[in-house]
Amino acid sequence: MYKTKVRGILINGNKTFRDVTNDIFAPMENRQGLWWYAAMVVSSAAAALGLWAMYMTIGTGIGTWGLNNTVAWGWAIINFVWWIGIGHAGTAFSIFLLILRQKWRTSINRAAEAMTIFAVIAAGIFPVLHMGRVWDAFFILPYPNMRGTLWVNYNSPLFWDVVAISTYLLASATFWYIGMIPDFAAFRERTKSKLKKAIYGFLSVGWVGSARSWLRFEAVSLVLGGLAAPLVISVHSIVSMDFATSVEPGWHTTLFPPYFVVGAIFSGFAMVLTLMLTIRKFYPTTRDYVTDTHMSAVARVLIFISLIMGTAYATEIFIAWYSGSEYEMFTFFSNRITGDYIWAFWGMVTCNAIIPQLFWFKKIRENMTAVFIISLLINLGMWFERFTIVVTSLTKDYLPANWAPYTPSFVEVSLYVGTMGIFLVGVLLFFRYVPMIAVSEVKGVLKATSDDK
Amino acid sequence: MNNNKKLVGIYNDEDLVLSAVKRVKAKGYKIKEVFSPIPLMEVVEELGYKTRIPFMEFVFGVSSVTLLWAALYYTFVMDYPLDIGGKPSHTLSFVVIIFVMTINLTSVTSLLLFFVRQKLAPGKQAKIIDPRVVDDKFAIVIDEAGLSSEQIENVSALLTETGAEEVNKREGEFDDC
Repeated sequence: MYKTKVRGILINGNKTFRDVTNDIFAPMENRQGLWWYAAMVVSSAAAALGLWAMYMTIGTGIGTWGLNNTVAWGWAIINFVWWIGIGHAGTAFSIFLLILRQKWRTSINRAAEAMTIFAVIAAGIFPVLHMGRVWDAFFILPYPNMRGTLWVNYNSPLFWDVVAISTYLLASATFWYIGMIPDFAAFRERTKSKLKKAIYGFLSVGWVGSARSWLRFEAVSLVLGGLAAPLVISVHSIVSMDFATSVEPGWHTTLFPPYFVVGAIFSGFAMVLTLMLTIRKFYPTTRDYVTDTHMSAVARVLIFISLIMGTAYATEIFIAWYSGSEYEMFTFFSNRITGDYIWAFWGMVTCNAIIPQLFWFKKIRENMTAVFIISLLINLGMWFERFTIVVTSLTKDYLPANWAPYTPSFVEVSLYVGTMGIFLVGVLLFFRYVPMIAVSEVKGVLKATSDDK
Repeated sequence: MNNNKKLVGIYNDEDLVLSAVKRVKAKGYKIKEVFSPIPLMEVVEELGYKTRIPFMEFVFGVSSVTLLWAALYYTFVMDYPLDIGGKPSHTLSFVVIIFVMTINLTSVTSLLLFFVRQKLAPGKQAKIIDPRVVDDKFAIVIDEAGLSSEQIENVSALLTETGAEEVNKREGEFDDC
């Protein structure tokens, strides 16, 4: 489906189709290194801590969290938004770049989409728990009920959130799965293990690779991609409206939707860097597929997004002053740039707007340790951003009598650690049981883009 | 079918397949199907395959919009209108929900459509013509039915001439050919 030659070499080492298959399926066939088991133990422990925190939250109630009457939204919404942001990478990568016919996506999209799914699952945990009475969670769905058939309020961004997040999970998972069908079929024909043959045979839905099936496959992939692309914009816009449609100072601004969408793609791309560098580190054969050129391309995208983030921060501050609203002025100038949560604000500005500018230097883009550290700092910065937005606006709102500080409780922190554990367990299982790079897609761009051919 | 013998030409390069398909067609032989590990859109074009999947998805999209609007209108305007500060019940919020839910419904129906049209289903046992076609080989399959033994030899020679590594005879029922 790719016709134009855009970039130079994408896959190193003069691979044949057979080499590609062997290289990418190797982690699924060989024993994992010791690091995998170590990482699995640590992540499972974190996930277990999270499960304990969920048990406490559901068993005892939201009282186990550090929330109070003023800060009714705290850790849960911060981490929800953070995870959803990370979850934007998969779609942004695979779909925008698919539509833009960027061949370099083929080595990265599978991992990015996997990450999306685990991140969205991790995100989804927070709003469900925040309901308090989890067993009544189905109340948010419009269904005929015994309360005079009282329907849900369609005007509420919180309901849009329910719709958007569940659609996002479903659409990304569908797109991810469709893309994997040919690869599962390849693995089915290749594996010697009876059990694996049965499992991957089941998952490969009987794919045999005929020209007609490829035609339909491409048609469905393209349309699914086209459908999911607007979701990247709509999901985080809707998340931002949870804030923007309220009247809290610092939230009630029209800048929020684009600002959140760009921030989401920013953190998603940063997480892609983190993940791909981890894969390159532990599975050295993947370095021929996920080359330094790929990493450099992502880093260059990050410079640009970082500039947009910087502009957004500056715009918010400017508008706070220009609007003449004393509450906005107070929030930005006395409670963000200065004040109790100064560390979160300046952490956000440093990590998101200033540090990524280092990617202008080729030396830094090519030093993978530096890229890895910066990618982690961006994710930290994006967390600071959500903390700043949620906590500074809520702790000190219009009535000084209501002001209350916010510190997360141990249960809340455990919940966050737990979602990281769940995410990492998912990623580790992905490393082991799913082809990490889209085999058939890489083969498709192999001829046009590999070394001298 | 009493005769389900097939000639399978195995190639190892996508460009050879395209030229082979063109030449086999030019000689007037009918190609049953081409198998490949990657999508070969030129070959699909050459074989004259068309798909109405994008059109069907458009139909699904339009039906989803209609259905969703009807459901929202019924629940929120007719059945139990909520008075929210006297604002109208039939609101722009519908657009947001219809937009997202259309994507949701169309994704699901597209996936089902793909499975139904291609006769795929989780757990289906694949009867693959040659297991190498999902790895690194390409296959051109020609049905022997209706061909004289002389013609079969000619086709076989033609496949070899166009660069086939091997020409195999397979007998039996296979998926998609």
